[in-house]
Amino acid sequence: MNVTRELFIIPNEGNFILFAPLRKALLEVNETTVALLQECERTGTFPESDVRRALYDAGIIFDGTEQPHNWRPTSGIIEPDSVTLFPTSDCSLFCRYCYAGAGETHFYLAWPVARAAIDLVFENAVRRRAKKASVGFHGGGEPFYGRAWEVVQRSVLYARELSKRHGIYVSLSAATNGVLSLKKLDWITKHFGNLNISFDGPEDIQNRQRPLKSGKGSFDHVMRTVRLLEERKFSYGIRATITKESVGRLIEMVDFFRSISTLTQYHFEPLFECGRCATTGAEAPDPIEFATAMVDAMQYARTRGIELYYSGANIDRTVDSFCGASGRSFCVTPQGNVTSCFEVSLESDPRAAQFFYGKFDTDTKRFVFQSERVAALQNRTVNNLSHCADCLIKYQCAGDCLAKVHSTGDMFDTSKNTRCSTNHILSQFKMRERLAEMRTTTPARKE
Amino acid sequence: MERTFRLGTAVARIRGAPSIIRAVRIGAGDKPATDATFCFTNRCNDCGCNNDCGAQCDCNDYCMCENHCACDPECSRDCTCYHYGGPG
Repeated sequence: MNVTRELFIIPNEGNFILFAPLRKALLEVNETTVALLQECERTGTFPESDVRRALYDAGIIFDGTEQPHNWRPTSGIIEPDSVTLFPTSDCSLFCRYCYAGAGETHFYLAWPVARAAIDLVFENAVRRRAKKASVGFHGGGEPFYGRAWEVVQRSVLYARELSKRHGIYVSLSAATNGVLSLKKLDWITKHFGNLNISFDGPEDIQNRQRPLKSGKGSFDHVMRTVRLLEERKFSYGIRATITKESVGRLIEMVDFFRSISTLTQYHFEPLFECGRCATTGAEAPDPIEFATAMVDAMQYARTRGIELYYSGANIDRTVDSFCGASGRSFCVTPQGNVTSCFEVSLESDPRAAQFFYGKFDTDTKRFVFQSERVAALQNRTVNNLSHCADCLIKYQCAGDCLAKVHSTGDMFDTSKNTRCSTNHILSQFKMRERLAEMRTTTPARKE
Repeated sequence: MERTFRLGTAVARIRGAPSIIRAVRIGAGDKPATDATFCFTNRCNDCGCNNDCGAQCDCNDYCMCENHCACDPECSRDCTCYHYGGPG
């Protein structure tokens, strides 16, 4: 009998939490159970009992050898059936913390490039007989801004045409700053499936952190958008950036969003200092202060039927990479480059050397990929991150955001990641919360 | 934040009989079991697809997707990065 390799222990008020991420098992046990598991590791035996059977059922102990987990290979091949188009680097807002410096450059995605990307996605979907393809729109700038709007409309209509032609469902979604004309909103709600709105909450916070280009507030504009989406029962999400200034107001933000929206989940992310922060002085919250405030806000929200989401603490997933930036996302920038990361969209970004892995070829009208770069990105999995080797949440956080870690020097060195403490605190909180939801199975015996 | 250990490095002694106080299977869409069992049978597979399909959104930090796993467009299960009110 053997014990699963990836088994972590958290002391918990005289008992212990056991977490076996690859077995998707989370347990609260007494000290004897831990001691017997340690003995089992040494001797290969565990005394016959109900506990032994339960540990066996959970996959924590087993006979024979443990099969390696079936992670995706690092082949260097990418055949996407999903694309995220970045229609422009320009923007209607001048957010104090913009990671992309949106509005400082004025690049717009050309229609032939967008069309070729959609063609590629459907070619792959048809070849592998997929039931679904996805076309999304995102930053650096505001995807619906200025003449980017025309490319968005053409892309959506074209994707719908291909969807109909091939009988493949197409998912259409976009992230937006929410400053949209009624005409655009009308079109969006008729043609898109989802919108994700960046919205920082109460009027003073929104207007300070996310002003219009003119310097005036954007709050009223975004409120109008939310009202309209609510009226039309359109599927949308809200993502708020939390700064040093707003971290003390999370509960107020929950109440505010509850007052304007029927959503049952909001996405709160701490600001990561980069981009425009250098010139505006926008500051990130202290990681532990953010985590502590989130715990309070999550508890408060939970009692009101609301979930708060934070990207670094998702205990329900078992993954070896944080996101598609590890060589799986197919994102097309306004300049026709292919990047795997939403946050790296400009040729002038020093991180482009790692995250750009292809380009639109104007001669062939097709995309050319650099497989060695794709392979290098695909290789960025938690199994190749030495600092994460013994981490409790290695297969949930999976090395965290590549772009943010890269900003500290090396995307394979997570030792300087400022989000680590946040991710740990919130993950452990969620584990305890999840266990607390369970009824006691057998009484703990302490002798 | 509590310190965490690998099994081999935790300090534990045998004190009476072993006991499991609570147990839950984690996974997208899993809900706590309502009865007093060990709960290892509530493996979530609501959509009928493979729960280990590796579904991930393109960017956890700026998620836009409803369900990027591409396993079943009719699937009502939320993807791992889900944060919308419902599928589009």
